[in-house]
Amino acid sequence: MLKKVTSVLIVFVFCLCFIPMPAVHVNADTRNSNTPTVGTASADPDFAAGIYNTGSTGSGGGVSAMAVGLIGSVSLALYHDGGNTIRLEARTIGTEVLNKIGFQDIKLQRWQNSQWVNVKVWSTYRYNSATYAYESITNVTPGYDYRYTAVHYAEKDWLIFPSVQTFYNETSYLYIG
Amino acid sequence: MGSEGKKSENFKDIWNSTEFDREKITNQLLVEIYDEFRKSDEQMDCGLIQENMETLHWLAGEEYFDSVNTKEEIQKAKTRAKAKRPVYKKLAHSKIFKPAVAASLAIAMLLSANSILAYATGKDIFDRIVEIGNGYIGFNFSDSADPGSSYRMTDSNAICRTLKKDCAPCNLFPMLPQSLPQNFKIENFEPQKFKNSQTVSITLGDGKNSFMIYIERYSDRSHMPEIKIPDNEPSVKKIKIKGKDAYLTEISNKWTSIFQEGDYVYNFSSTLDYNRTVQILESVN
Repeated sequence: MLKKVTSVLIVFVFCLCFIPMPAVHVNADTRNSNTPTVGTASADPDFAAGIYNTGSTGSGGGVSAMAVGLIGSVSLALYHDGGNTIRLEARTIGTEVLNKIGFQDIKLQRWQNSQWVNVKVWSTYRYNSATYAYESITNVTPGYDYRYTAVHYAEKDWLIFPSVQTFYNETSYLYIG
Repeated sequence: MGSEGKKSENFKDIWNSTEFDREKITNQLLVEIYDEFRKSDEQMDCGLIQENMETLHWLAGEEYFDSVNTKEEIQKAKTRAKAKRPVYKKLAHSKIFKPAVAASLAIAMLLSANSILAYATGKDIFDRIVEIGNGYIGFNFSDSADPGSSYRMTDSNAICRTLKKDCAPCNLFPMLPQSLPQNFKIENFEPQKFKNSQTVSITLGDGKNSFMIYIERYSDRSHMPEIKIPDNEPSVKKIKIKGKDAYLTEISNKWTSIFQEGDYVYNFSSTLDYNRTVQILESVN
């Protein structure tokens, strides 16, 4: 009798060990099918840095021919502050006091239907300043990968036409579960 | 006199003949007179005017009395005509008008070019005059060999103390330059607090040139930005800040540098020339 009970228990425990496995496997399958195929995944689950953060914008970026040298360095960062809250920290650092400095078309995007979909788009600028450090906190719908993209913007007024320098940047993406 | 009288009679016969166009020759004589009137005093042929007038009188059957000094009368007539001219016409016909206009245009163009240069580089053309000699002016448009003492470097202890004092309440204790150009002042000081970092933006300058410092202090070093030096950047120069390697990049005649020390990331940007920028950066402590 004891042998029977023991064997039933062993079988039960054995079965128990296997029961969660299909569930985990299904979840992983669902996640994999929604994994973004465009962009870079962040190694840190709570922090994603800008892919094009740079010490110098001398190369790359959308630099207009007559206006090179207005932007000194740029950075974007996406933080997961816990729960459904994410935070953007962004910097555009000019090389001198500029008439207009900031971020053109900041986009909070989520991966949905195999593409990046804009959740929110906005721009923000400061005037007559050399730098603009910006922070924005947003509550998001869980279950998606999120990232920020932005165009760092700097403008200096001349006699007739303003000089403008822009620099595209995007963060790697984070899964907000 | 007899031959002259005969010649005149012959001319009169021609004049009275139907084949001769009297109106044409009268007009011709008048045109010649007017042409002479238009000439300057020196070039005017008073003899021709007098001769033509005599001929016209004679052809009209009148006696020409040369009881007046023709040259003097013509001069008086010209003076009266000039007096009646409008002021702008007088100016336009003035001998110095054209050179004055040319000189004014040249000065206006020079000042415009100078304004653009001053706006673009912060240094006007007069700042760049290095030598005035006999018949020449020497300019120096090179930023690296800026002569004169307007950017003489000096200890910036007072500025440094003020900045450190202002930074302390923000929990920022950054390294700052100990040497700055003599006339530089604090143009902007702006601290900001974020969840994971504290920043301060400082602009030092004299209205023409500036040295900008952007300091970030991170509470979590794992989130500090990675400092990258572009591989293909042609104008990256290696310098030492506080004994550590740092890189200086030239972008459109401005020098930028990013330097990391402990929890701090420093962004420097300078519109000064290379030598002075390096001098400031090497004095950071």
